[in-house]
Amino acid sequence: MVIGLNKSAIALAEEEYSKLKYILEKKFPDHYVVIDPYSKVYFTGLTLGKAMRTAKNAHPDREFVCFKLGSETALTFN
Amino acid sequence: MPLDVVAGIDQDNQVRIEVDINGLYKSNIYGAVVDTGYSGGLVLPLIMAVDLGLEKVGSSAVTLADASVKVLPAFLCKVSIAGKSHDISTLVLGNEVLVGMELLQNYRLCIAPSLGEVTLSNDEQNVNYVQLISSLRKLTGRS
Repeated sequence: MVIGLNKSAIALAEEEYSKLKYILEKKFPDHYVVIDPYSKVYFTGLTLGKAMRTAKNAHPDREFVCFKLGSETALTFN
Repeated sequence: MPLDVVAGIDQDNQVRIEVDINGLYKSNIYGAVVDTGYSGGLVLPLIMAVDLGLEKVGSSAVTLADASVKVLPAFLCKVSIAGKSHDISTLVLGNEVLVGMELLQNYRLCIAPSLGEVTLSNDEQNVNYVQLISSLRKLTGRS
């Protein structure tokens, strides 16, 4: 069983994120962004949980790739 | 005013707090380890995630403690502390229930190791640190 998105879907979302990143960093600094790789629709939130909830409420059947504006990865363990 | 939550320091000197994790199939109460180095909300072992049932969201890149980067499946679940519920990002990893800063940022956590006491209260100042940082950046021209 495959859990999570495949590599090509993640690459599509990363490509979209690289296009959006500059503008979103200005508008929503330090926010989280979740992107649907196929429709390119995106949602932002102050926490990843809030961004995920907004996305899943809008599109319960879709899967998203998560990013954090201003950070290399969405989540970190230090 | 401290919340009515079981919290303390265990024999391995880990700070634990009582959380009620509400999955798609069932809910359970755990003594979760506080991990202030984790920026997300919750980490669950696979066996608990399967038992509770999590809402699948997609994938997320994660920087691990050894600085390596992995893409992991990302989930969503509701976590309640003292009756207050939060939508929390969740990773399935390891063999311990961890709570990170995404959940803890809603509270004031006081640890008194000399007394072996841990208390959790609502942050009455309710400072929105993200907006505060954003405002400071704008004021200093670093936005």
